[in-house]
Amino acid sequence: MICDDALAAVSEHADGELDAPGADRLAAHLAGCAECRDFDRHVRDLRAGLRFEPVTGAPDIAGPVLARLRRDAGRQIDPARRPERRRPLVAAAVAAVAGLVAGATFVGLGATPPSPAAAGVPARVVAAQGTVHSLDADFRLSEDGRPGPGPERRSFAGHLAYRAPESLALTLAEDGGARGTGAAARLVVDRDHWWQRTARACSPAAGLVRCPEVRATATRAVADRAPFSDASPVPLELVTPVDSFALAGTPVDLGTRTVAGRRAVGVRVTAAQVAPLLAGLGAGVDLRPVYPGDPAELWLDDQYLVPLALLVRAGDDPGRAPWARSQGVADRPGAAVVRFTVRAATVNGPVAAGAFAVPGGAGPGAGEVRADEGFRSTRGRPTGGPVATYLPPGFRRYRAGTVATPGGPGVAVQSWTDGRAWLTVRSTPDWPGGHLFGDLGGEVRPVDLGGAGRGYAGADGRRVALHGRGVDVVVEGSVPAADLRAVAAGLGVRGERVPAGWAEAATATRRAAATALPGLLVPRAGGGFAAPAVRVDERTVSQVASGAGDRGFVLVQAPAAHLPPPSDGDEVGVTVRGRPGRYSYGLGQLDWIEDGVARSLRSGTLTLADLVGVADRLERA
Amino acid sequence: MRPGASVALVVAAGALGTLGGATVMAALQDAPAPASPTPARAVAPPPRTVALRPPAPADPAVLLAWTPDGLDPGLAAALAADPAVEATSVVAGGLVDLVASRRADGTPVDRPARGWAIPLDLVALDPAAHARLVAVPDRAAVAGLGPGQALLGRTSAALRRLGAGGTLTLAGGRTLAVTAVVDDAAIGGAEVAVDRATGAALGAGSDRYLLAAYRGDRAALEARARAALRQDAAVRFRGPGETPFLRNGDAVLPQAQIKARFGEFAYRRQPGGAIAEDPAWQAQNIVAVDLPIVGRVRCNRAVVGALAGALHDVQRANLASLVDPAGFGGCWNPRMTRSGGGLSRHAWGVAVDLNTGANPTGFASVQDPRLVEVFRRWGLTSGADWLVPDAGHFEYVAPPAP
Repeated sequence: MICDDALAAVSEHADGELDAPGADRLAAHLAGCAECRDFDRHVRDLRAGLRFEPVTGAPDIAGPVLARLRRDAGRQIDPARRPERRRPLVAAAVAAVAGLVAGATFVGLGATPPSPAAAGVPARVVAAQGTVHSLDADFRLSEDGRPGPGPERRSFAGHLAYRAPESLALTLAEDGGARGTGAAARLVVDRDHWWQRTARACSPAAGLVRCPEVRATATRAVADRAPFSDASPVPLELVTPVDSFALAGTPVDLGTRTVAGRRAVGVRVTAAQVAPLLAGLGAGVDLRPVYPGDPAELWLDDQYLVPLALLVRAGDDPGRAPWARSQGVADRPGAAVVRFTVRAATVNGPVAAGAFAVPGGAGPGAGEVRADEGFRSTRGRPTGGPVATYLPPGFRRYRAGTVATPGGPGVAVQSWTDGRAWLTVRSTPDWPGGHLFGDLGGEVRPVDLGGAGRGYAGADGRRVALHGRGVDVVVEGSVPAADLRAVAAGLGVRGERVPAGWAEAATATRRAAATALPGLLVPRAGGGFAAPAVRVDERTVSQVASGAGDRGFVLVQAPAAHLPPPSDGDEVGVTVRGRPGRYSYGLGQLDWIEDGVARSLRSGTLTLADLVGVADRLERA
Repeated sequence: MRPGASVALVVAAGALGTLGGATVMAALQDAPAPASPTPARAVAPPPRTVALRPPAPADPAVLLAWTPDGLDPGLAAALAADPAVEATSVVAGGLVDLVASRRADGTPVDRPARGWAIPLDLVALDPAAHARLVAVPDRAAVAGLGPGQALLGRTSAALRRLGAGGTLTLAGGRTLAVTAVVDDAAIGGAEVAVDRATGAALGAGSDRYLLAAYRGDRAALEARARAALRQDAAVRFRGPGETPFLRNGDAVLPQAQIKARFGEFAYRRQPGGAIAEDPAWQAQNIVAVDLPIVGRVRCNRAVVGALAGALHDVQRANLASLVDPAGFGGCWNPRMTRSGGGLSRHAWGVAVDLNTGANPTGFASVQDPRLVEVFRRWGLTSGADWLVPDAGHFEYVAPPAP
C-alpha cells in the first residue's frame, strides 16, 4: 500500500467502510509510516473534538462593506462574468451568474492592503481540496426579494453529505408548508450514478396550461456516469469552492469568527465569483436571480476551507438597475438577497450509512427522465488512451474506462483524485473535427507545451486540449491551470495546429475579411488585446482576441436587417456606439445592428462595461 | 438608455426594413402568377448596408409591455394613467384569412382556390395614438388610417406584391383598401394593420400588447405597472434594441419574417385546430429525412441542416442520452397554436419538440442546459424561458452561429 491509498483508507476506516483485509493492509502501512500515522491521529482527534453549536448572529458589516464598495468604485472593475458552459444544476440564479467565475480576475478591489489570511485564501482553497475526504453539514438557506407571484421570502433547511471524491447527497426543503412555494429538492450522486428529484413550478395560462393541484415533481436518473461528468455534475463547490477561487485575485479580508463551532476566515468577494457555489446551493429549488456584481461575504472553515456561511447583499452598482429591471426584482441597496449558514458540520468524519442511497418510489412516471451516459469501466485494464507521465503530487488513480454512445466518438476516460481534487484525461481516435474535442468554447487560446507541441486552453483555464496525429485529447480538472498543462505535456501526444477548417483556426487576413464583409469593424490596435485571429465563413467574419491573463472576446459580424429575437429574458437595452443594442447577462453577449450588419461581442471574461468599451474602440477595417 | 435612442431604433429599423422590403420586392416582382392554391415563393437575401439616422434627443423613450394570452387590462389602465407616460397605444391582433387581392389597377394578385385562404397576421390599433409612437416617416400613414383601410409592412408588401391602392379581400367578404406601406417596425412586424373598429369586425379585437412613450426612470415605471397586474400574471417589458420588433411573443420571429424565410402557403382550417396546407407548398418545402437520435422526421428542407447539425453535435459530445427518442414530438405539424390565436411554427416545419414527456408546456424546464446551448448555436431557440415556458419546444430564429 502506498501513502495515497493509505490516506484514503484512513478515511474509509473512520467511516467504518473498510473491509477487514483493507484494515489489515492499512495497519501494516501505518506501522511503518509516520506521516500517515499523523494523518490517522489527526482524523481521530477531529472526531473526538467535534463540537456542535448553533450560529449566533453574524456581525452586521453591511454598512462598512458597502461604504468601502462606494469608496472603491472608481478603481473597481465590475466583476460581472458569464458562464462559458452552462451546467445542468443551473437554477434561476444562474441566468445571471452561473459559471461567471470562469476566468474571474478581480483586480483593484481596494486600497487596504490584504491581510495575510485573505491573501492566502485562493491558494489555500485550491490546496485544501486534497485534505477533505468527507463532510456532513446541516445548513439554512434563505432568499429575499423573489420576483413574480408568490412569496418574496423563502427559507430552506438543508443537509449535505459528501464522501471523496464524488459521492454527494444534497437535500433542501422549504419552510412553511402550504404557505410557501412547496419547493424541495434532493440530489444524490454516487460515483457512476446520479439522481435528482425536484418540485416543479407551473405557469398557469388560460387555454394553454392547467396546473395540477398537487405539486408536480421532476426526476432525472442517470446511470453509467463517467467520472466527474459535466453532464451530470456534482456540486463540489459546496465542499471546497475551488472554481470560485482557482483564478481569483486577493479577496478583501473580513477577519475571523466562529461558525457552527468552527473557526472561520471571512472574505468579501462578489456574487459572480461564488456563482458556482450559489448554483450548487440552489440546485432544483429555483433560487432568485442574483446580480453578478453584488457583494458577497463568504466565511470558510479556517482549516479545510469548507464554506460555512455566505451572505449576498444587493449592491449599488450603477449597472444593477437595468439588470434588476430585466429580472423583475427591486432590491434596496444593502438588503440581504441570499443567505446560507451552516448550523453544524463534520469534516472528515463518518458518513451515515445509506447517505447516498436513491430514495425509493422512483419508478418511471410523468416528468421523469432516465438516461445512460454510456460509461463502462475497464476495471483496471488500460483504456487505450494516452498514458500520463506526470500527475500533481498526491493524486491517485480513480475510475477509468470508455464512453460509447450512439453516434458519438469512442472516448477513453482516465481520472485521478486527491480528496475532493480531481483530474481527467479524455481522448478519442474518432474525433470527426470541425472544432476541438472537449467543448472548450469560442475563446480558445494556443498554449505552448514545449516538447509536446501546441495545446489549446479554454477561456476559464480549466481545460487544455491537444489535437494530435490520430488522437484528440482534453485534460480537465480542479487543479491549477499549470498542472493541467503539465499533465497535457506529459501524455506523449504531440499537439499540432488545428486544421484550417476547424472553428479555432484563423483562416483569413483582416484585408480578406474586409473584402468579404464591407463595413467590417476591427479592434483598434493597442486596446489591451493582441491582434485577433480572423475567420471568414461565407459573409460571416469572426475575430477572436486575447488579452492579458484570461481576458478575451469574440466579435462576430454578418449582414442582417434585424437582430434575432431575444432568448433568455435577461437582456437589457444598452447604447453601443451611439446605437440601441442589447446585452444578455446569461450569454455574456452584446448585440447591435450597425450599417446593415449584425455585430455581436461575446466574452466569458469581460464585463458589460468592458464590452461596451471594446465596442466603442472598434474601427473600420 | 439615452432619451431618443428608442426613436433612433425605430428610424433605423425603418430604414433597414425599407431596404429589406425593397430587396424582397425586387426578388419577387417577376414571380409567376399564383396557381391553386398558392405557389411557394423564393426568399430574398438580407440587405447589405444602410445608414442610420442620428437620434432625436428630445423625444421620449418607448416601452413595450405584454402579457401572455391577451393584454392584462390592469396593465393598460395603469400605464395610461401613469404621470411619466405621455402616450400609449394598445394593440389588438389576430389571424385573418385572405381570399383575394388586387393591385391598384384591378389586376388580381392572390387568388387562392375556393375554400382556401392565405393566413395574415393582423394588428388593430388606434391610428392617432399609435402614430405618436412610430418613426416620423410613418406617422402620417399611421395617423391617416381609417375604417376599412389597411397598412402593409414592407416585408408583407413584398410577400403580397402589393402597394398603396391595392385591395385585400378577407374571408367573410370584407375588402380592405391598402393606403400605405410602412416599415415593419411601425406595426410590430405584423403583415397588416387596421384600425381597432375594423379589427374588431374582423374578429381580431383581442388586445395583445401596449406601447408607451414615457420620460424618466424605466425601472420605476415598470414597478408601477407590475403593481397593477393580476396576482398571477407574468409580464414582459422591452425597449428598443432589446428585441427586433416591439410586439407580443417577441422571443420568436413574427409570421411575416417566417414567410419571408420559408415561404407562404394557403390553408384551410380543420376541426380540432388542425389545418390543411397547400399541397404544392408542402411538396416543395417539407421533406422526410433521417436525423441523428430522433430518426425519420418530416421538416422544412431549409432547417434540416440546422437540426441535423445540432443533433450531430449532441451526439459528438456523447450527450445523445439527453434526448429521449420516445419524447420526440415531431417537426412538421400543420395546426394552429394551442391557444388558437395563430399558426404554429410547426405548420412551416421549422420547430421541433424534444423530451416532451418531461417538459410539458407551462412547467419549469428540465432540459439539460447543454442541449439548449447546442440548439441555440444552431439558431434554434428554446421555449424554456418564455413567459409561459414551453421547454420541449425548439424553434428557428436565426442562421447557425459560426
